[in-house]
Amino acid sequence: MIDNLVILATCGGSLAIAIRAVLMERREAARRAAAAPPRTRR
Amino acid sequence: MQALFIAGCWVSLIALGCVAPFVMALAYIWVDLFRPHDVAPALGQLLPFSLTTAVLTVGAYLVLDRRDPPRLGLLTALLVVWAAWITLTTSWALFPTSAWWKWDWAFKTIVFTSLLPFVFRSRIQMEAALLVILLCIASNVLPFGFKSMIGGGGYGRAFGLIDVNGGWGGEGSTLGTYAFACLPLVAYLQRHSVLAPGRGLLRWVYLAAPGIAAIGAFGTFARAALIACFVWAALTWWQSRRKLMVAVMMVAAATAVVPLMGDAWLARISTSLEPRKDQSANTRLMVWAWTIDLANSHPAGAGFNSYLGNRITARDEYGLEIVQEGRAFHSIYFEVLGEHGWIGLAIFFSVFAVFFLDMRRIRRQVRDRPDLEWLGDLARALSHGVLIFMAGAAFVGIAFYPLQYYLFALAVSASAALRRAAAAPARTPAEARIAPVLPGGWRQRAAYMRPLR
Repeated sequence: MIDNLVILATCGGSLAIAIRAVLMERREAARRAAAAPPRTRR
Repeated sequence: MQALFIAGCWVSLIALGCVAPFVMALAYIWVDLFRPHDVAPALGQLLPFSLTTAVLTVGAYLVLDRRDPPRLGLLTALLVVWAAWITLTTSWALFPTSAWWKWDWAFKTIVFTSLLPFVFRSRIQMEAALLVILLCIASNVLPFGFKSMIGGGGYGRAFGLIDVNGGWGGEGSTLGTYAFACLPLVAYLQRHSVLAPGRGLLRWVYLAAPGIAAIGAFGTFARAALIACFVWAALTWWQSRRKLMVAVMMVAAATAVVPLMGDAWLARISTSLEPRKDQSANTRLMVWAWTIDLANSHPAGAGFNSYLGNRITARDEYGLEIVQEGRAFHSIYFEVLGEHGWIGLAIFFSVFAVFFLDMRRIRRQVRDRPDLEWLGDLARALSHGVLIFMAGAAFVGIAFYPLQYYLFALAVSASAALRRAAAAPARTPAEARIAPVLPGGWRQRAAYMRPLR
C-alpha cells in the first residue's frame, strides 16, 4: 500500500514536472520571440 | 497494475521527449535513479530500459536539439580524464572479470553524466532535472520513513522499493547519505523554484522534507546517515540568519527524535564512538589499513573490486579468531585508492576541488546581480549537497553511484548558464542606456557592464 502510493506520487510527480517544464519552456520561448526586435534586411 | 503504471510513466516521458529532447534526459535520470526494472522486475525482462533510454537521449539531442552547447570547462575535462583513468586501471586489474563488470556501469555513469550539460541549458531544464532527481530519491526515502514510523527501523531491512542489494535505494548507508545530501537542494527549490514553487500544499511538502529525510535515514540504522546529518545540520546552522533560534530548534528536534529511535538504534550508533569495540567497524578500519598497503604496492591502481584480494584476521568479543575475506572498502576514498591507486585518488579529489572552486566562482560573480540570485543559491546548494555526500560516503563505497555525478553535471550547466547570462547585458543595446542611471560611481557602473568571466 505504502509502496504503491509512493510510486504513484513520485513517478506521477516526475511526469507532471516534465509536462510543466515543457509548457513553461514553450511559453518562455514565445515570450522571448515576441520581445526580440524585428529582424530587418539591409 | 504497478508495473503497468511504471511502464506508462516511462512511455509518457519518452513520448514527451520526442517533442522536447531534454525530457528524454529526464527519462534517463528517472530510469537510472528510480530503477523501474528493479522496482518491477517483470518490466526488466521486457526491455533494457537504461540502454534504450540512453540511446534515445543521445539520438534526440543529435537530431533535434544540437544548439548552443556549453563550453567544456576543467570539470568536464577532469571527468573525461577520470573515465579514461578507470578504463586504464581496469586493463591491469587484479580481478579482470569482476573489474570489467563494474567498469561497465561506472564508465557509463561518468560519461553519460558528462553529456547532460549539453541537454540541460536553461533554468527550467536544470530545475526539472533537479526535481526528478529529488523525486527519485524520495521514492526510496519515503517508504523507509513511513515504515520506520509504523513498525520501527532496523539495519539491513528492505523497506525501500528496491531490495537490499538492488542498487542505492535498498542499502541503508547510501540511502541515509543521499537523503541528507538532497536537503540543501530541497531548500533551494523551496526558495527559487519556478516549476514547483513553495506555495500552498507544496510549501508544507518542502517544510516536511527534513523530517521525512531524517526519519527515513535514521530508520536504516546506518552510521553514515548520522555523519551526513551532522554535516547537514552544521551547514544549515552556519547559513542561517537566526543562529540561536536554529540551534535551539535543532537541539529540540534531536531531543524529540532520539528517544523515538529506540535502544537498538542508540546501541548501534554509539559504536561510532568506539569503533574498535564493534566488529563491523573494527573490520572496516583493518580493511582501510590493508587498502593503504595495497595502494603503496600498486600506486597506479589494482583495478575495480580489488577488495576481493583482502584477508582480514580479527578477534571477536570472546577472543576467538575470525578470518574474513573479500571485505568491501566501505568508503569512497578507500574504494578509489584501492581500485585506482594514488593517481586515481588525486584525479578524484581534483574533480571535487574543481567543482567547489567553480561553485565559489559562480557565487562571487552573481553577488551584484539580483536577477541571478537563483544561480548563486543553486551553486551553494550544489556545494552543500556534495559536501554532505562526501561526509556520509566516507563510510560507504559509492564512488561510482550516480548522484554526485548528476550534481557535477548540474554544476557544469550552472556555469554555462552564468556565462550566457553574463554575456547578455554586454550585447544588449538597451543595457547601455540603463548604465548611466545605475547607482554608484563609474567604477561600479563599469563593473556592472563588464561581461563576467
